[in-house]
Amino acid sequence: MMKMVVGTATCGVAAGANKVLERLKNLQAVQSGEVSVTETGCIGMCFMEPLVQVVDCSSTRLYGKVTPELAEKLAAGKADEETESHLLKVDQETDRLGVLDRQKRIALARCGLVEPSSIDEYVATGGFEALDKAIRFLTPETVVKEVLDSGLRGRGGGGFPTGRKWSFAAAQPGPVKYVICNADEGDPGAFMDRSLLEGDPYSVLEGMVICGYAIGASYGYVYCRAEYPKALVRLGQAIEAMKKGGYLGNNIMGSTFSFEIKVKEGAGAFVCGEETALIASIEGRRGMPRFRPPFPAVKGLFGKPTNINNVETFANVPWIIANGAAAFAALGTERSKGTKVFALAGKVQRGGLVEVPMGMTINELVMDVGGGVGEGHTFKAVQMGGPSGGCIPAEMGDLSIDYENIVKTGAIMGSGGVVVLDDTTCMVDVARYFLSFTQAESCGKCTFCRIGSKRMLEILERITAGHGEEGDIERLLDLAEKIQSSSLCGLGQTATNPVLTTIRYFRHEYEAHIRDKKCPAKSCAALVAYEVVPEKCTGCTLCAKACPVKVISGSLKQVHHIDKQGCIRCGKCYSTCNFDAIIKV
Amino acid sequence: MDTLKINIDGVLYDALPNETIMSLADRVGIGDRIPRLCFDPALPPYTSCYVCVVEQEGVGKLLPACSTAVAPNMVLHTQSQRVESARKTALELLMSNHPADCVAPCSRGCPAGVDVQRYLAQARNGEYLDAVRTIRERNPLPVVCGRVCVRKCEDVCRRKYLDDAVGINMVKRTASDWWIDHPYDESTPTSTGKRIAIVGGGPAGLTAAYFLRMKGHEVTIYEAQQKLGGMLRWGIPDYRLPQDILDFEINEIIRLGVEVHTGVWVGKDIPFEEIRSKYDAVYLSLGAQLGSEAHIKGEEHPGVMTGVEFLDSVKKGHDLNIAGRRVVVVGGGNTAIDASRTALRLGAEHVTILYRRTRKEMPANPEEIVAAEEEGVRIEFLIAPLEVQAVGETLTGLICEKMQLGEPDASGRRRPVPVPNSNHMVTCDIVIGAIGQKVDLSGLTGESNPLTVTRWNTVKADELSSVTSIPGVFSGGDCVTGPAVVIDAIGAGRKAALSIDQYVTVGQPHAVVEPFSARRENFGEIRKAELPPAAAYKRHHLPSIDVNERLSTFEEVELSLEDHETVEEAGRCLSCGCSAAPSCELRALCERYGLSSTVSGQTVFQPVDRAHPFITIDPNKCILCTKCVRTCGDILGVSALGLVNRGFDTVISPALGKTLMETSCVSCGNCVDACPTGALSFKGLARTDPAQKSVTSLCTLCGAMCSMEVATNQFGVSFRTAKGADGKRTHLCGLGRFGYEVLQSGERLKTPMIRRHGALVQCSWDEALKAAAEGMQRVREQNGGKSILVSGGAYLSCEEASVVAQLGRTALGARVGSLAAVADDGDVYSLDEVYGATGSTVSYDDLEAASLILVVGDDPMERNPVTAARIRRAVRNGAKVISIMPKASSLRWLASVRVENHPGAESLVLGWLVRKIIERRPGDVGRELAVVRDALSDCTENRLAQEAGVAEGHLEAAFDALMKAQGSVVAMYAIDSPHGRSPDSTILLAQLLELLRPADQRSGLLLTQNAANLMGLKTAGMLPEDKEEYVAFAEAIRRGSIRAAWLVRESPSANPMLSQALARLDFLVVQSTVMTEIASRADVVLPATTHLETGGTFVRCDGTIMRVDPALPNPAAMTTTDAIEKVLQLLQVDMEAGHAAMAQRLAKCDLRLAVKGQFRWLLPRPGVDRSSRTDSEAAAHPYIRSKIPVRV
Repeated sequence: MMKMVVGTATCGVAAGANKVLERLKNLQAVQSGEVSVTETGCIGMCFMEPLVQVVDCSSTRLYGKVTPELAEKLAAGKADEETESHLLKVDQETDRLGVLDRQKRIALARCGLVEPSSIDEYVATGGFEALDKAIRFLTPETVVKEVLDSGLRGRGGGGFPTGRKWSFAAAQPGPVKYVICNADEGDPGAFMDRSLLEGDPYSVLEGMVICGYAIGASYGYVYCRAEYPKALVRLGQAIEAMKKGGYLGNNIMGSTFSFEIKVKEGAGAFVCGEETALIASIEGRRGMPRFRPPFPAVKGLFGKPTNINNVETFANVPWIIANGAAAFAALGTERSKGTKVFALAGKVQRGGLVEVPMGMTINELVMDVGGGVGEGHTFKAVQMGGPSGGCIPAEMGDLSIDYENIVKTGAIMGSGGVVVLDDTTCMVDVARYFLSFTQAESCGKCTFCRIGSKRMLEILERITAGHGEEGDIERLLDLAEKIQSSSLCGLGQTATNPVLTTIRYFRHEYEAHIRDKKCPAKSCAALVAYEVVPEKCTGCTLCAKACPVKVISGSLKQVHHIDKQGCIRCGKCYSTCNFDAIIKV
Repeated sequence: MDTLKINIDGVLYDALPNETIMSLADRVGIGDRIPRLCFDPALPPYTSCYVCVVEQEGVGKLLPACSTAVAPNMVLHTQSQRVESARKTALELLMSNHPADCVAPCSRGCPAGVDVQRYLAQARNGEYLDAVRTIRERNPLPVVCGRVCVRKCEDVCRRKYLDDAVGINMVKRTASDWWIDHPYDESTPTSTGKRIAIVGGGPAGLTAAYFLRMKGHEVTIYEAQQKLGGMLRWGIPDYRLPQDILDFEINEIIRLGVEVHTGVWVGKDIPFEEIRSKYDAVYLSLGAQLGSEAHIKGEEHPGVMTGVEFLDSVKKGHDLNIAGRRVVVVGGGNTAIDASRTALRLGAEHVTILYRRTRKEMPANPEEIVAAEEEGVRIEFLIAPLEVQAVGETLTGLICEKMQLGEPDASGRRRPVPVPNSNHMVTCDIVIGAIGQKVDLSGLTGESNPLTVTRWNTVKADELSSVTSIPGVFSGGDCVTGPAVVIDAIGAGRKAALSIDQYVTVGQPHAVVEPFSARRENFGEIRKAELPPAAAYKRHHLPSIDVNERLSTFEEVELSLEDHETVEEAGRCLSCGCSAAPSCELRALCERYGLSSTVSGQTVFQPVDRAHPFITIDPNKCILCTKCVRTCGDILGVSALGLVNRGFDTVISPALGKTLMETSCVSCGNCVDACPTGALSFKGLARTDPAQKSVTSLCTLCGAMCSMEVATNQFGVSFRTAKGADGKRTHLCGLGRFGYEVLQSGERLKTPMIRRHGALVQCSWDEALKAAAEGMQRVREQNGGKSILVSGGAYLSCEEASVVAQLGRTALGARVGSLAAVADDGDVYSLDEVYGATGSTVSYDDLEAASLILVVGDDPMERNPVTAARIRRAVRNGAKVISIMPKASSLRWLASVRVENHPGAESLVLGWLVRKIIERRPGDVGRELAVVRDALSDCTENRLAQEAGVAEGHLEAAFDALMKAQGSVVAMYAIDSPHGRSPDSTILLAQLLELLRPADQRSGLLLTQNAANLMGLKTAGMLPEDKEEYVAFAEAIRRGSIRAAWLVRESPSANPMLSQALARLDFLVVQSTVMTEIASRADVVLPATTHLETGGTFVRCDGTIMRVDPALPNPAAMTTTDAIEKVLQLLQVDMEAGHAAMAQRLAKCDLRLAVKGQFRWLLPRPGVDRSSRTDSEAAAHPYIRSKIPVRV
């Protein structure tokens, strides 16, 4: 019997997986039971979605960019030139692109391989073994020590040792304590938490239950953004199944330990990823951070000791308990153990989700795993850590990725968003983009964050619009320093990192904008002019037709000319020309 | 206690563990080094403004002092360069999003900085003299300015965005003209002995003389001309500024003791060095007296003169032979207009003004230009003179060329350029060149006088400090700036006076700068929609004498507005200035950190919420410190305000775009108290003016009697701040905050009235009091004293109550009491047999120390939000609350146990609890308790479920909470609950507390009342002595056996029973503040004194005696007490004994002590009061919604 598995995580759905699934389900062969069709989560090759796995008695074959038609062919067992051109991987062999082989999958181990809603598949793949081991054989103190010894650090961005965090909460007197899973993933370009919750919700929940056992908590919350409908559905299914299976509720797995989990939907405020704001939001108040100390471990949700970790952190926990701290600590670098999931996005060839051991270099990540930037372009920088992170130039590509190294560059590891930038990316504009995000997402509490970031943004907007003034860079640096040092929470303290790192590594681009009124990447619309290359112009008139303000003159088969005076720099001609005869200057 | 050593700015301090850096700094007295905006001592730290940051050595981030706890070995810097820079930036950022005005643009636009808004408000109230005083704080020449000022204030007036600018100067003129007829004497301080010479007696010199005299310095003016006044006298024609009026105003300055030497040219008649050596300081205010040459060919011809010369000659009476001649005036300023209009009055055949630009660029006042044209002056634009044409002595004309406007020049005006080949001849007999003036410095410069002069031949002097190059010599006015206008000279004179004062007293000149002011116009165009609603009057126009009449005379052309017009014109003012400006913490910090008012960055103007009757929310002034949000939510539990939006767009606002009026706002105004800026402000005219007097007072509108500070000014109450006796900010409810306004709304009674031929007519006090006394005596003689009711309301002070009692008991032998007590069933006697008196056994302060609070029968939030806030604070400190009430009250979030019973059934619940507690007692409970227990045997679960609607579980929980109580237990009971009381509730509560013994000393009963001074009335002897007398009193009223009544601030109309009982009286006297329904039926109506006007003694409902001074004057000739005492005199009652008795009773009165002495077990008879009211019925009760005081 043949089994077909369609990747229906959000990345797959966005690429058309639902149509593939629908077509398959309507097939005679499927309805008659000859071919079974199931769903799975994201395997990480988002750039090749929709992905379909075909499992029959002889092999397991993974196909990418599958159309409904192709899926039909595959279901019929046909193999021809077309189907084989979509084949990515056969059985355990090396995948054709080499994307998967450089990876070491712990948190993502089951993603894209198991059916996310099925607790049976989870159990069949070793699920709840860690929980069973913890409850039956380990004391809470031992569990905390295992996590501590593993060297696991908070994957949400801060990189605080998870075991230490647990030990603080464990040391607080009971009886009521809380475990919170922070699934308020808000960085633009980051989607690892979403994929994890969509692809393997059980491992996250198992990690939470183990945490509850370790710190002596009986209640857990998953704070998940409402923009992740699929993840919320999967979470709900998983919690129900775990309750039925005795993995949640009273007397878990026959022990005296009881634990409950509720899902709380966030309304999409970025700042609610900050732990005190998140707590306020769960409590029903406006999501705004408060001063720490007291830390949540001492006074958290509803005033009780609370441990907060993010999705990926919890997903690592069952593996650590099952395989032992030493196995985890054997991976990674001196101070950053284990693996890290990165969301590769931007100008990279193979965008997607990858999990690699700590210590891989930036070049390996971008070039080897990600396939580098597009042809004809050069790799310029990576933006790491989302809006709180910063830009690391390509020259530093040999830097091995661990928490300390990244911080030294001025960026942060963050939750693992990696946006690859090439020579067409304007670094001032990148800074402007990320600051516009944090500026709009500030909770409005602190003076510096609320107004200071707005004023910085205005300066950046001015610079990219060609109205930069001498002294603007100094003004940016002065404000940035003050916003960093005088804001209550991480959002404000790190909001200026994109600006600071771009000034640090790409100051010349700022200066070119300000002094020469030029955008070196030819990206800022206001600083770009368009010209016709006479040698290449065929006089096809397409550009003249496309121009909305009709400033392109020239008759058929004659070289055209753009009147720069009236040009509004919309770029229509540039994208219309089929002969590369229009260039940016 | 352990202490930590913390190094702050190099000094070691002992810190307490867990205290914050700010609290340490405050405690050791260096708190002023740490500025703060979002910190509120009544609330936990919030940490948003970041102006309180300090630097810790070895720490990268700056620390917010408000929330950072001290830690061992901290080394802190509170004023390092980094800290100060961060604070300044924080303030700059806040101000970059502050599209609002501190000071109204008119005041800022005035070179003398006159507080325009204030004097307009004064004039609007008809207080002309106050208006003049306000003007003279900055400008000692209001009469002159009222006539000739160029009115820079009106140029920037915001009213012009609605229609036309306010006629500010018209108002000034009316007020200052009134002053001419009503001058006042000003006293100068004792002489400082410092001598100052002023050279030049024009507006700058006169102003400097005035302010220097007001500082106590000896001032001497040296004036080259024969009379003082400078250009005011010689440059302004009489038809604009009559001589006698100028003389008056100058004399008002001179008569302060200024020495004057006229006809003395310093530098010619007396050496400048001599002046310098004789005086401690010299002020040069020479003016710019010389007319500038026009630089036209032939201008030396005798038929050509300067405007200044011309006007001066006319003033001095020289015959210039103008009659019948053709006059050409060159120039476009006020001098040109003055010269041309003067020439017409001297009989010129015709007068033409030649101006090289257009009408738009003319510097003269537009009104003056119009007036000149009305009178027949022709103005030709875009013409420039080139050459004088003359035949010998006879001038024949002026060769001119046409001009056109080119590119703008340095002044911003478009530069006139000649039109080629446009020369032409303008025939005329006389040419007056009014194109500018120059300074004459002859005799003042030279080797021995190193006075630096500019290239324009003006004195070089610093704009702010007025200092010149010679130490001790100051200068200002036209001789420094070149020709300017009068108000500029006045501004300069005042600045110089302040600087000179500093120089002669402390040895350093002083740069005079106005305090920091935010400016709305820095944030882009002002739109109509953002202006406040305003009186609909159009701008008035000054009347003037007929055009034909004008030309034959130098009489003043413009006249004053009528009084009502002046008041209307002043009423057009929009009061743009911020009412918080004098107290604004943000502004003070901006001043302290030297911010400039320029801003950069975008902002969005937010609409102002003016819907609330007392409170305005202006989000444009908000800094998001959320003190209001936290006060409203965390202290009062109301949560009418919150944060809306994210990022830069975050604002504080009621939710869902509502106005404050549409929220749960209880109008307590504590948000306004909390606001460090003017984002929240109180409405009203009285508040636009600074407070002049501040009185520590008391809200006497309910039994809680919160202390407050009442600030008043000439307009009335300016604001009320909740302030405890220790000076710290506390809280008030809407009653305390705005009750006075409500009581004042409508017409106050100020004159007595008497009924004649069926109608009430005004009469004299003597007449009214005599009629009242005789009427009462008559009824007494006919029907006996017991047919008379003398009754006083609960707002009365003990002193007032005492005279009411004497009137009733001693003088008339009447039934004496208070209708409030009748309406409230006399619970005020309910504990007499238990404790020996009825009253609270604990104080309000004990409430906050309690560990268990039992709230019975009413919603504290509804009755008194301040009490509710205290309960909330107690809960924050760990107290538990049990509520036993007929509905889900506002305490529902706070109460750990809630028993919700049917109205009037509380006593069943209490009975059950008392029985249960006795039953659970181990061993023999004794006979007394056994009897009580048995009496309560029918308070069963069953009965409770049926009659009180209470389910069993809640009772058990309440019982458990009571039994577990540790520490002190306070039971609150509202003896005048609008929901009604159930029988014997107070007795059962007393028994409950007795059973819980041994409890903390601070345990006990708190009987609350809305009837404000009920306990005081009892103490003063105005209420019936005991229950028996009370019953007789109430019965007499119910039976309708009352024939006459004297009601003092009573309003029975709201109670149908009382209203009916008092419907048919033979004789009725009502003392009231306003015309109430009952007053309209009276035979004699006497004006009464009200809240804030009545000083005296009050007894808070917890038995605390409070004394209060009146904050406001009584608007009528007699107070409530005066009137009754007069009647007592008429009735020949000796008041001494009564006063002495009252003093004795008060001296002995400490209700709390009196009721703590004993305890007697009574047999309680709990039951359900069937007449008790539901919520909606209660809403009709006069005391519900404590927002609305009863107007009596």
